[in-house]
Amino acid sequence: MPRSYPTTFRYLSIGRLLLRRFLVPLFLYVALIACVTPYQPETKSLPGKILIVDGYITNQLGPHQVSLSYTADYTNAAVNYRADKATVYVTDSTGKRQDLGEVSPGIYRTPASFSGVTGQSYKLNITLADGRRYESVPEKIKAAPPVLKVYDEYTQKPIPNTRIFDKGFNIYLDTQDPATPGDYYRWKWTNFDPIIFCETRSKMVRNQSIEYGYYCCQQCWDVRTCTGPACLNATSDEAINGNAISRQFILRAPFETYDRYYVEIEQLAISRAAYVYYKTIGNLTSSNGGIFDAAPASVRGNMRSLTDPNEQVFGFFSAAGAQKLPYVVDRTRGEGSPNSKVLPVPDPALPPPPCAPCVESDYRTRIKPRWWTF
Amino acid sequence: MFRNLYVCVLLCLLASQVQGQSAKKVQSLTGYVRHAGSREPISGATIFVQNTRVGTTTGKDGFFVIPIEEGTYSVRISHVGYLSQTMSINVDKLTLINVELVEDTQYLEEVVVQTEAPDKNVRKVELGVTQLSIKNIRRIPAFMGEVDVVRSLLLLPGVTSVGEGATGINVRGGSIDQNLVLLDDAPLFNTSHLLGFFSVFNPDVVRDLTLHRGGIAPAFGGRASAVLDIKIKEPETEKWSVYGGIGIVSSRVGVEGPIIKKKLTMLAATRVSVNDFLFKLGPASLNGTRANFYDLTTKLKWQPSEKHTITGTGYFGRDVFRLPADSLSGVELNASSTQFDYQSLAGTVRWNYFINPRMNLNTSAIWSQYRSEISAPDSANQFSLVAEVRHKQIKSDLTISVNDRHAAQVGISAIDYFVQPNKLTPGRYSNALPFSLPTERAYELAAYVQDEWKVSESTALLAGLRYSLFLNDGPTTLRTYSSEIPRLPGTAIALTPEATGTIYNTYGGLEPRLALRVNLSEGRSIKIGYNRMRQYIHLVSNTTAALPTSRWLLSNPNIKPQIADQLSVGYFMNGKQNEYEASAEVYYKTLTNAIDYRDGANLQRNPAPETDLLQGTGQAYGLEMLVRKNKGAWTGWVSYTFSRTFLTMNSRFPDEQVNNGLAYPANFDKPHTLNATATYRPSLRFSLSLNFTYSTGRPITQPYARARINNVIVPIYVNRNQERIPDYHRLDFSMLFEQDPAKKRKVQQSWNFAIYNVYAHKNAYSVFYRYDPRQFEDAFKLSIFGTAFPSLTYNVRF
Repeated sequence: MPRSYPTTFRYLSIGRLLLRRFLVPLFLYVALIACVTPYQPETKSLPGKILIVDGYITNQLGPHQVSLSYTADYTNAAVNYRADKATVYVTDSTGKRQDLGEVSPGIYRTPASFSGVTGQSYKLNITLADGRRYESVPEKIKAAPPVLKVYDEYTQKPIPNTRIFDKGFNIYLDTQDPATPGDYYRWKWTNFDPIIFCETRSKMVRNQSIEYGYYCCQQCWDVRTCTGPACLNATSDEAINGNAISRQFILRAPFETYDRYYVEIEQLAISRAAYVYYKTIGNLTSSNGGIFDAAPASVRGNMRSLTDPNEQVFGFFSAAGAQKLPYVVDRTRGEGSPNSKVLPVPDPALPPPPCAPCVESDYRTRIKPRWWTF
Repeated sequence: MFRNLYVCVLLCLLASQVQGQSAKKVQSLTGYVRHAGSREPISGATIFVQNTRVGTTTGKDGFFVIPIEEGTYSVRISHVGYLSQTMSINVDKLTLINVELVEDTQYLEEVVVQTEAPDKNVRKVELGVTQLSIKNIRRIPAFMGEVDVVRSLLLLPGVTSVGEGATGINVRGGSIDQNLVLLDDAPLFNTSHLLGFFSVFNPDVVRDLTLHRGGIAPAFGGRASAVLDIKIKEPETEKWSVYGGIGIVSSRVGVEGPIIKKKLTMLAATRVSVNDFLFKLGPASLNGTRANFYDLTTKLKWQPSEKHTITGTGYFGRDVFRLPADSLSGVELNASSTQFDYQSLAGTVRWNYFINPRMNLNTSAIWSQYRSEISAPDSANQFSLVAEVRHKQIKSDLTISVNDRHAAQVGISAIDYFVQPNKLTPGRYSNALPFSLPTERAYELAAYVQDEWKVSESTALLAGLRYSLFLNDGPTTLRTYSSEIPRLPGTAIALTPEATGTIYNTYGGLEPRLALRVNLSEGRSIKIGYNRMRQYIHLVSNTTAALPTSRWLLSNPNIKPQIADQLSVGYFMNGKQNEYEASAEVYYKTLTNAIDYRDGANLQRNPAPETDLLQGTGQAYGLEMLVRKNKGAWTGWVSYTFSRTFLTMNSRFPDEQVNNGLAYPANFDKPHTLNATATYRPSLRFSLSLNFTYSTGRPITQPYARARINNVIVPIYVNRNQERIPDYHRLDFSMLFEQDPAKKRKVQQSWNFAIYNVYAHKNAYSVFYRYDPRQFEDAFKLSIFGTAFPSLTYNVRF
């Protein structure tokens, strides 16, 4: 029996839920006549590019990542440039310094061995290539409560105007909020999907384009993380202090094969400032400018410039307590047949073409996931 | 027949009495009044002898008789809908006259003329007061055929809203909660059905509405900007009647009449929406959507004696939205459906004691409640989130006509407020956890005195003073904040529990009200008004337009009352025997403790809402000009308003500033507004109306840049409300086909055909940005009424 999706209203602002619930249908209500037309107002620009900082460290093993980029005009054509060749390090309250190395332009990571210490405060320090210096407000790591249970439920529902079903497994988490008020959470997940082809190329065979796959030289995984406004959505224990947080929705694993689905789930105990920041950003991304939308807010964050106190800088450096654990979905429990994924075929050329290397990136890794046992 | 006999007997008695005293002989003036052309008798026509100020009305057969001394008289014969005739008649014997009245095809002000003098706008002392009779409102082209009492106000100078479908109105730079909306004295906390598309007032039973936007009388208080006073009509005393109508959106039925003739009369009218079929016509995903409203208005009037009148008014209105999960495919946070339910319940019992011709005492007991509920019926996630506001009030007003020069009024009022902010109750097997925000209680006491003083023939002064006192009542936990750090949740330095019944905080102060009128010449006057208003209950919402589920909040030690001071000056002019009237008013208003919101505020569930609120100052000024033509086949008005509204939220903490502490336009700041309505009424049976409106687009905050955070494109906003959506303009058209109202019929029918947005202008409802690398455009505008909306309404009355 297809089940309905759960309501995680507790963790979503009622106001926002209401906006979506009220507005979308309201627009649809007048959809017969409502219309959307392009409208190009004058593009506004900031006088200069502003640095954006995004990253966090936890009390778990690394690597922990901070990314630096610049603002761009609010147009499709604009590009957010990365801030590369900066010196980035964190210092704790005792003054101990941990450098973050640049792994790719604008992406800085701690070594895998580094982990924050619960109760300790951390501050991010940045010196850009041009010498401008920034630092964050110190963030204290608060222990995250243990995850009590992770479980999944299979659901499917028709995709409107198609004959296809959206099939998948909703993964939920149960945890216990500590008795103290003022606890704030975020959940992150990382899915590792083993792949056999590390490269695909299109070849024209008898006037037909065929996707050929090239085997990986070593064991290799595709890395998927939560992206999108939903992942910014932080929650607080305001309404549920001291109670169980049950059925917290984490992600939906697609039912596209019978293979196991491996995901690492991270429960972060964040500070109030971080909560407000992520919440604000979440609201900004879901606003559509209607009269029932929340008034746009400006993003501030916890960074400031040391070289020029009047210089604006956006973004947040968070230090959080974390609980990280693996979860594996047994996808043989899905109903019917999986929504098939189109896979390339191996190149039949002889002799077999050379293997493709598994190139380390944000989206692919040859490092075996921590709890990978298969 | 019986009445004629009665009149006859009475007059005979009178005649015999007079006979004894005077030598002059009493004769009778009799005759028939008929419709010119058809020669049908006109019943109820008035025959008035101007010299002796004696009059009578015609019977069913159009016949009348007036006993009168011999002599020559000027007699006026008139009837609603006909041109009146004045004739000189010499009565020296039993005189019979036959009068034929000609239909007045141009009468329009049939109601207004009877209740107020035609030059009222020039002569009355107050300024910034506009009254609209329901007859006028009915001729304004209506959206989807729904005659809308509140929407019609948008055509008046100084009244705006943030957009189509927005709840409430903004008057002279005030937010929507700064309007005191009274339905027969009971304040309503929500004035719209289906968000803001239709108003909650049933046009069948509304008599008139008066908007006070400057020089507000001291009898009114509790809101900072304006008073919208809506009166339900008095039930018919003579006979029972049934009326109703069928429209696209709603259908109406009402009944009124005497239960005991001339003693006890009643009225009940209801309106039910029937628009669900619209959703069935829509896409499949909308099939489960329900959006319905209904309301019921009742009035009971009991007149046990000449001196005492007791009236009771009751109102109940409810909206229910049910939205299926599938309408939101793609949003992964669904119960199988969610229901929004909000309802208003209000009632007034009013006792009018007519002590003597100089004194009149009015005492009312008022009850008003507003409740909103969001619920999910799913058993696994069942919950209901309820918020409620209750207003209980007793007030008493005494009017005293001291002498020809002074008319005084004194009054007292006591309000008991109860606010239950959001309270979540899970279902029986639900995973949801209950929570309840603490309830708020307070009293608002007020007393006032007012004198309308005719200083000289040309000068009149209305001076009043109101004192209001606000008392916060326990139980509560009082949060104290340090002034050294910004107010954030958890930064309270002390939590003091206050027990039930303890008054832990008071606010109060004087509210002077002043209006001065100086007549410059016949039909010309200058008026000056000043008023101060205090507001202790606030509707807080950080959305541009408040939602029906937005939170009501009482002032408390951390949320100061809003205080508005307004000074206005106006010039009023009537010309051509009040055929034309023109006015120009300027106002300047300051708002102390104006409320706005911290960036990213979450007010719905915040147990310490003061941490999300900012209080600063507001400033509004404007010029309102109106030219109106009241008589003739063409009537209507043109109004132009220039108005600005700015807010300033400054603090020494950057966190508590908006726009770096500089002034910024309020959400409803629309500098230029032009409204024009015209009605052409060539005959009694047909009228045609046009209505044009233009206004500057509302302010919006446009992103200045984008950032990529966590692989999400985030817009960067710099300053609030610095840009605007495109200007708004629209033309509406309506035609009203009626049956001759002067002819008494068993069934009176009328048809109203209207087109909203005749030239289908795609007005921007919102401007939004969509990120899609495959598209060239980044910004889009959404028009919700981007086409012409025809509608047809049928009304009937038995």
